[in-house]
Amino acid sequence: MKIGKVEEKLLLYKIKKNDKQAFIKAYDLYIDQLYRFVYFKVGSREEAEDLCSAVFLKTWNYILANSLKDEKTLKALLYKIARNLIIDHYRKNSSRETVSLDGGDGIQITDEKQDASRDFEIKADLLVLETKLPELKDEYREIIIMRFINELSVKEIAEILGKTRGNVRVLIFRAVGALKDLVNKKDL
Amino acid sequence: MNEKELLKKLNNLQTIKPDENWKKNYRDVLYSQISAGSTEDFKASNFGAVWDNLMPGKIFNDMVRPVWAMAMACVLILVVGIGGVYASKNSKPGDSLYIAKIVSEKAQLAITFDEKDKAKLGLEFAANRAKEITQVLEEPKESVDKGKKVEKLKQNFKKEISGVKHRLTAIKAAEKQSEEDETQVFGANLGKSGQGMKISEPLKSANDVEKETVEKLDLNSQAAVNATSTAPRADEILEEAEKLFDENNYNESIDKLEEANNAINGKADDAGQVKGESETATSTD
Repeated sequence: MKIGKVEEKLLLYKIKKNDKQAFIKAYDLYIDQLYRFVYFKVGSREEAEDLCSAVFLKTWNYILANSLKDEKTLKALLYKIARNLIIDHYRKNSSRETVSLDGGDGIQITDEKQDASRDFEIKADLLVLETKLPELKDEYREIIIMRFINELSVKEIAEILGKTRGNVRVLIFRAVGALKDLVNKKDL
Repeated sequence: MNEKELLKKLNNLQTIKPDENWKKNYRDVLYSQISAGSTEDFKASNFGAVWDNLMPGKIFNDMVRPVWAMAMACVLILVVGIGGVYASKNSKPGDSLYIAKIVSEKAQLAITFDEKDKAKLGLEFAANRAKEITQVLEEPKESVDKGKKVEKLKQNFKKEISGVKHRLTAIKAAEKQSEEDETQVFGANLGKSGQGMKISEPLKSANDVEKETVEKLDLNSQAAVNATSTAPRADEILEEAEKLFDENNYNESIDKLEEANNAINGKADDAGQVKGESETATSTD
């Protein structure tokens, strides 16, 4: 679901005023891309769902506690909270056995319900990239997801990561290079 | 695989979506969670949002708040002041607001610059004193300082009256002086403007102008006679008022004072008329 800049500003304004309906609307808008982001980082559907729900609840509590003075966009706030939660999640589970993303026959992420309508080429792409993405350095994977899958702007990514736009551009360039290398290595 | 293909394929990964059922369920759960957390159910309007965003928020608020506070303080002071003066209008000696009445009278006198207006104010204040005496005398309970109050008010009345008398004589003297001056200035003006006429505007002959000004002069002198005749009239009425006051006939004295006020008023009107006439006379020149 796409949303215009003005609409997003309006939504953020309403949420700042503790408008619950607006927050639920924001949930509808961002849940898909946030889920994707979390999913590619943790590699499991259940964990992604748990983390996503935690992200939204935490965001709401954050808005209630702080008056969102320095946050310019809601999206950036959601991603920031998601990143922190994922880090916490890893920290908590570091003692436990972690499920390797590229272990076995790759992650089974295809949705059974949509299987029939999905075209073969996309399926193949998914398989290749899904197996390759987890091999990528965490930093690069994150930026690839944000830039090319979730289609965030450089400005937004810079805000989320707390880096300059130049830094983000360099990171994107390197990440794409690294991914290309990985994919081509497999092709060879 | 080149970069373009790679990016296209990455874009295809957008098909990964959370389970619709989970999404829906969690949506409800989230709503109940956030509803439980807060008590007030606020719904921001779009208009409010637009207004807040259009206004340069903080600067506007920071600027406007002290301005409003100052304005409110000024209005409050004004209202209290005016209200106090009005409330004190009917007060008599011994009332808590009587001092406010005296102060407002003094202030009124201080901000009046015209001698005639000052004389009128003096009459008004004298009438106030007389009224206050009647009010004090009407008081049901007999107090020790009632007599004292009346005595003081009588003194004040005399003071006001003598002030008005002084002013009237001063006005009379000044009027006589100005009448002489006016005729002189008028003559000088006549010669000058006649010359000017010849050069710039030869429509009226010098004779016409002279005739006109002579007529005006006649009017002027008549008015002056009127004025001088009214001045002693006001004086006389004042004397009568004082006499009535001495006879403790306060109400009639107040009426007389009003009459004197009217006499001064009439004089002022006459003078204004004369002034106006002379102005038109000079302007036609």
